Amino acid sequence: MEDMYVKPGNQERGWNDPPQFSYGLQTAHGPQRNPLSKRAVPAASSGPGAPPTAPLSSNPMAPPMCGVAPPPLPAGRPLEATPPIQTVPMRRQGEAESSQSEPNLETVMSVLNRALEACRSSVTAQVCNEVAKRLCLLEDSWRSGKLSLPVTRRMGVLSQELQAGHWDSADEAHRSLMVDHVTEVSQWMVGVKRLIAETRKLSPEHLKPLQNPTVPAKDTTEPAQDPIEPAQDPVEPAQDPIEPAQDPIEPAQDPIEPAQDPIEPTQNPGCQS
Amino acid sequence: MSTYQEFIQQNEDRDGVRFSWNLWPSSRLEATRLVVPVSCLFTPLKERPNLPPVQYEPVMCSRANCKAVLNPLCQVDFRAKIWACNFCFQRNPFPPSYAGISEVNQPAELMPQFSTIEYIVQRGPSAPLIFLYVVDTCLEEEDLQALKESLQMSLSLLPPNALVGLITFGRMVQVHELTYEGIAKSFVFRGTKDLSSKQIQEMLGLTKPAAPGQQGRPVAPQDAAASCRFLQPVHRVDMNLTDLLGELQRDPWPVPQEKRPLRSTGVALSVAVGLLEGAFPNTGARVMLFIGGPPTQGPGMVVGDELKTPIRSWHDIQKDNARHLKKATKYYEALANRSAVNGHSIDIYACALDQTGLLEMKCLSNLTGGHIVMGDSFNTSLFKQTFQRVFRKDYNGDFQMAFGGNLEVKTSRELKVCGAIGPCVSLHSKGPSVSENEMGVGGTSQWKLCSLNPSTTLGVYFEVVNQHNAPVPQGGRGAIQFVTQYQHSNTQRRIRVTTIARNWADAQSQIQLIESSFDQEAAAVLMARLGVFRAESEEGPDVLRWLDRQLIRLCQKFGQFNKDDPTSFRLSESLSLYPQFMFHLRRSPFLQVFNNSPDESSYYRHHFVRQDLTQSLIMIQPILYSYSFHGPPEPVLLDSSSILPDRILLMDTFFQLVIYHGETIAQWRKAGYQEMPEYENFKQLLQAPLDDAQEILQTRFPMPRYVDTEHGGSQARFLLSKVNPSQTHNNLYAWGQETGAPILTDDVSLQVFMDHLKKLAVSSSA
Repeated sequence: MEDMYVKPGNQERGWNDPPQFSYGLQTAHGPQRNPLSKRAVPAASSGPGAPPTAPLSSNPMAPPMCGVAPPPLPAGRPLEATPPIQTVPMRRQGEAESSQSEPNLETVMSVLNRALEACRSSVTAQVCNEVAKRLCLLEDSWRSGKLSLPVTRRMGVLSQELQAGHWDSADEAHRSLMVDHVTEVSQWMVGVKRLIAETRKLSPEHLKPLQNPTVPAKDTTEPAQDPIEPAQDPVEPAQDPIEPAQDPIEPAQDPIEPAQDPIEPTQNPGCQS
Repeated sequence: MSTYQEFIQQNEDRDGVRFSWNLWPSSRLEATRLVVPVSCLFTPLKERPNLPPVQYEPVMCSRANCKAVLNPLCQVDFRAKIWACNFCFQRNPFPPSYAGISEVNQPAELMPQFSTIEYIVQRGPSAPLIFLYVVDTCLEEEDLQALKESLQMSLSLLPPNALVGLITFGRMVQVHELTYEGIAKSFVFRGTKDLSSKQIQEMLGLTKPAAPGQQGRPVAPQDAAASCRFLQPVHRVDMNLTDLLGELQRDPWPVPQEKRPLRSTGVALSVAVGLLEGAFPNTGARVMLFIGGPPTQGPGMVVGDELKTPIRSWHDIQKDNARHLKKATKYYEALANRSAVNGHSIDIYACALDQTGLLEMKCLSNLTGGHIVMGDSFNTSLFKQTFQRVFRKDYNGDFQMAFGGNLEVKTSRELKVCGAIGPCVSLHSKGPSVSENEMGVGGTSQWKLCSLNPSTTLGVYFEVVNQHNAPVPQGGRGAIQFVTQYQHSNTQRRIRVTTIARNWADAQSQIQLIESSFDQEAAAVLMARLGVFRAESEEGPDVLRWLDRQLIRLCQKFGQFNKDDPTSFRLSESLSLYPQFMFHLRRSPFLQVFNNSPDESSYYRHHFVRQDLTQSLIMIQPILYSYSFHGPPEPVLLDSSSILPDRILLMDTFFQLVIYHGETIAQWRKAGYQEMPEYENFKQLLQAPLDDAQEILQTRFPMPRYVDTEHGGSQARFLLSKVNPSQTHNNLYAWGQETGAPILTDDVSLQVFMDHLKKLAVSSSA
């Protein structure tokens, strides 16, 4: 859901600027839930302009409590036809994103670089070098922490789709990044875009190195992941003695994590410092 | 079919057409007495997800001046394989490919449910779409940065094979050569000198001097296109163009204090139009102009560079004190016409706090079907999202934009076409169905729409020419055929054909039937378009008087009353809302210029004369919904009496969405009740209009402004200026009770307007 959000408009520059919808929300074609297109017809007897009868007056001191007056809204709105917006009202991006895993730079770059290598046989050196230049830019901005979590996450998705040969979804991921995060990605994304376009033109045999990473280069990058990820694990058990008292729900997750611990600490004792 | 309501809705859904009258008066005289002409709103490319196009060419009538397309209304002799044209009665043999047809084996175009049908016809090679960005660099840093990013973003939305080009301008005009290798060059033009199309093409190297062996043969357009290094496929130049855009700098020429930057919009556009004219005549193309201020030098200049001289206001125009107005307008009109001839459309994205000269430049978009978008800054969601929506796709994943449209209207003999109002130009096609009586853009039966989308809607006006003493035979029907040829965004050539028929009725014996066939919503929009069309050339008060006269005549014709007794006046249901629409139209920004700049008026009118019926009607009479604890959201009268303390109102004026919290609601919100769990229902009440507003915001083009205000808030004026002022400071105490909100205005209320209308309608001297 992280690509479905609405953020406020730029009130400083635009007077009454409307809110901004994410790419995912704009392209989601939900059925028109409740088109507001009706007009009230003036009562024939009183004619237009006559004052309506005053509704039963409610206590102006406070709104009616739930128990007093049932919330009228769900009654008027069938729930089944609701597009995603109802569940994500005016939410700032980055809120509900902590649930997903941290994307990994090495994995993403390795897919992109392998795709580029695969292209080198059929695409001119000049284009390849241009793409390579932009991939370097991407790597640099990522390493120096200039990329936000939503961007790196979607890059993770993009690289997975690319590796799996899902060109259209990879392209769609690129488009959503350009629309939602153009400031962060505009410098290098066009290289990724070109890479997707060139890769999809490759013959299946040229694609092999991309889809079956048997190249040794991959092996050397893989272990590099481990030292980063488990860094948190040893910390968590330390919290456990305190937490269970407050959180009866949480411990359900714990049984999984300790299972990893016995292996990991032996591998990277140095990483915890 | 039980009611006219259903019939009207079904026809709109199927054929994209709404007629003012759904029974037609059988003679010229009777037709003129109905006041509202026989006319329709026609949406040529109305979205029809359930209408797959057929893959063959339409069969046309063989009579040279008819050429109507075979349709379900034609009489067919299946045995002789002959069909009779229902417009000219010519008998035509079917082409050989139809040899197998019979009563039980009919082609789609003969079936009644295909009164609208679309043909895919492949003629010639398909041409790629062309997008030429013309970018003002006299912007503030923040705006330029935001614009650059939007343009870079757009490269990801374009189809890979689309051609793109870039022209930037400030004091000078730069045409950028787009390469995918080596160093990028650009050609620089002075911003003060007007150049002919030929000069521009020569300077850009589009027309090379003929090689000696070719005996001076002129270079074919295709050659020019191939050698045109200014327009290149996106997929080849996207990386370099992204860098080029990223490196764009603000116009380097120093701007002294008390001066405006020198902005050569006129020459930049002239170069853009000349470039496309030379390289891609008669091919779908979009010039997209991005401006952050008015043209200040060279041809097409709207205001001088001295800041102490403000840009023209309505007051200046009325006092004939707008120095550059006529000259600039003439200049842009000439450019617009050239562009229209070549089928190229021009969009204007104007983002600035002051006026940018839309009044002078509006014809560029109005004649070519381009968009006008008006915002405060390029760094706003209003601009960014509106721009994204230009590239919106339909349910098939195709762009919702079509190019090179050509609409032809054919009529049966009793009808002639008077004209059309919408984003089109005349193709000056005189034929037997063209009336001498012009309404809108007339004197032709064909119009060109350089760019159109699924909501593009034309008003088309007709005249009944049947003589009074030669009545149409009973049960006879009149027919109209709309033939729209266009280039689909997937570059196919397509033809959509809509054939409709309506019954003739004798206006003397069947006037009540005719009355019940009146579509007051369509009629209001069609009359409003005529009014707005007049307002472009006539004085405001004259247009209002004309509209008033039409309304009074209509009420005299169809009202039921005793002479000179206003209290006896009644209108039937089919006309009951019409006076109210006219009341709100009179107050609308389409006819009132008070409180609007000339640019704003041009902007509002631009959108009014191209939207479909639903959107147009929202513009005439905004929609108002009320949210309360008393029940589900409901539409309420656009009236000050609807402004109640315990209500939240949502008003949609098309250009603005206003959420207004009544006094009590605002107090509760301030006290924070929505945060307390026991007041969850109040939280939901506050949320409901926000959700509904979002739904509108997600689809509307252009993005509307969004106002969230409350009782006593300064922005509440948006609501207060639109509602009918039934309670004012003048009559507040007459009601004897406190409901609604008094409006501080001397404007007449709907009540007063209606009283006056009734008096005039029943008057025997009128």
